[in-house]
Amino acid sequence: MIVCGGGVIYSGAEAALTEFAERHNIPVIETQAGKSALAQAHEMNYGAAGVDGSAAANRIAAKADLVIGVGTRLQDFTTGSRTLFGEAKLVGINVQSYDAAKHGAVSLVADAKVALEKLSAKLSDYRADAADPQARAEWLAAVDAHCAAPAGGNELPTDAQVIGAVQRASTPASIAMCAAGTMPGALKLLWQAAQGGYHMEYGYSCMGYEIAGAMGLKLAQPDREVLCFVGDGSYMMANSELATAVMRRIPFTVILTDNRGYGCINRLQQGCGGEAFNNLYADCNVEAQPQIDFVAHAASMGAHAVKAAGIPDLEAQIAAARGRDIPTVIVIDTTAAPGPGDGLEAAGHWWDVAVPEVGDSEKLKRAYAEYLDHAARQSLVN
Amino acid sequence: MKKKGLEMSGTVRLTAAQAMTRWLSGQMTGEGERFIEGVWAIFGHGNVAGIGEALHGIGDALPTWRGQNEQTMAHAAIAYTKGKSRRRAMAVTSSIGPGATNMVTAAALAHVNRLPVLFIAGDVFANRRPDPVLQQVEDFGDGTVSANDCFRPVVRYFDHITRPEHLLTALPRALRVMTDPADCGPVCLSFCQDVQTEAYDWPEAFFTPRVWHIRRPEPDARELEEVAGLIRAAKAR
Repeated sequence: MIVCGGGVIYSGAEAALTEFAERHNIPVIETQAGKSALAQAHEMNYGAAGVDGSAAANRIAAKADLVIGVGTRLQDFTTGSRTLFGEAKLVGINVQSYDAAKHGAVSLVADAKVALEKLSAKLSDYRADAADPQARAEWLAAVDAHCAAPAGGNELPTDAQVIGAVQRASTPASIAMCAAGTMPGALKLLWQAAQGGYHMEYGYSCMGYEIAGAMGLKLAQPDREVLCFVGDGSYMMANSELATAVMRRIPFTVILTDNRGYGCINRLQQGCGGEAFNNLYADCNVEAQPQIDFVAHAASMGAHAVKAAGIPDLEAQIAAARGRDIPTVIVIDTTAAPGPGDGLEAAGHWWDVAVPEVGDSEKLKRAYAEYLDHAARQSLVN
Repeated sequence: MKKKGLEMSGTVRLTAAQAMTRWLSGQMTGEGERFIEGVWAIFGHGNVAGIGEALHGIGDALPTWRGQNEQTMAHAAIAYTKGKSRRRAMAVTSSIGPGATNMVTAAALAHVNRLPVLFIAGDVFANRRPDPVLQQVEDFGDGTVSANDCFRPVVRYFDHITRPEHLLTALPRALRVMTDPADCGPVCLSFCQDVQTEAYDWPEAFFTPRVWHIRRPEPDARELEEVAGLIRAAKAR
């Protein structure tokens, strides 16, 4: 199994990786920075690795006896905090020896493109029996169903349903981009990227990267459509480069999901045995619940700003944004309740977030016991 | 007696900031484009007179982009280089103090993601005449400390420009880091505001355009053999 990291893209090794995976029948799973090196539609792309990983990817990861990291830092989301790869041997192909030697890997220090080409020549006609095409097909079908428009009613859409709407409205020229909150993990799990159609700042996962990042990305790739996902929390942290994009006539489309607070950390807080506190505005020490008008806010800087009435309207607004020479900000109210992978069988993996050792509630005690259980499976040497 | 080569090579008198912008405008990619596409800039007293004058003077040969906040200007620069797969980059310049430290979070972002950005942070007077200048951090026990020392752990190359001629070594080192696939990351040039404005007789040869190719290191033969053997021996469990 190959773990495809950002180094594949920085090396321009996408074609070499594709050829390597096809020729030797070795499945590819993706990190945040490596996602879209292979299009999701490619038969050897098993999707995202680890904490926010696909059922297909995590299944082959658990079975693999050799994991080949290419251009990856092996951060904790990729490795399930060092619990994902079981007893597998690890190979690190990396241009930086610091990364190539991580987690006890057998190092191959080289440019990713050159290394894959030379390795493929050495392997000649060797073909592994590692692929599991049925698991991959089942996973992609489950994602489509999970992200489908809600059947009816006026309930608030989930983040997964928003991703589904944007996906359906996207084209092969679209790039989904984001940095922080719920959406990075949700997009890594659910976004079915075209080749080169994904841009995630998930090394620092810096809230406030999104709007300015969308502008910089559009400058770099003016021929592609930039679809910027940002939550209300991250938008509130930094948004003012919208005005710059307006005055420099740099168009991109912002999908601003408003769940009235920090939905991602709210779920994490409760997953760690804590009480809902200081994340959603409803759980904060405030004298009045805020009613932030994001449409008016973005419009005041000159962006084209609209509120989407629901999932079908969101799809229509994304299409309508094409052809504008200024940013479009589409605001949509969402529910903070379910996680993006909730209800998807075998999606995701444990992530090491420290849980208090002592505390008053039974919920906390259960969370701590569960934490110890998972932590015991961490492979700390290799 | 002067050597012939030295006699033939002339000098050009420019401020340090003028020399920096002129030099950056001549650093090219293998595809014939400027490696540093442009400079995001918010001016304050720490960069307006020196770097600001130089950026105005160089015009479209090194375009200036005016943003709203130093951190988010740097986010735009970072997304630009990520979107270019590190083959081109941008610079970000600030005044001293809050403008500079606003960029520290973005420097860390670029550092973690192994992305090249050139941070040109204004710094306090090298000659210390107005000490403490507006926005200067004062260390009671170390006269060399400034707010820009916050960059040191979050850049791949840091340099403190306290004399104009430091640029002769600092600038090539900055581009070396930004175009090295293994060491790639952000650079901070902490550029004292008085030094930016000082004139110096620069060797003309310094400004000869230079092409920065991003190399592709070949694998070691033994490592390649070992990994090929591991793959051949692998079986899914």
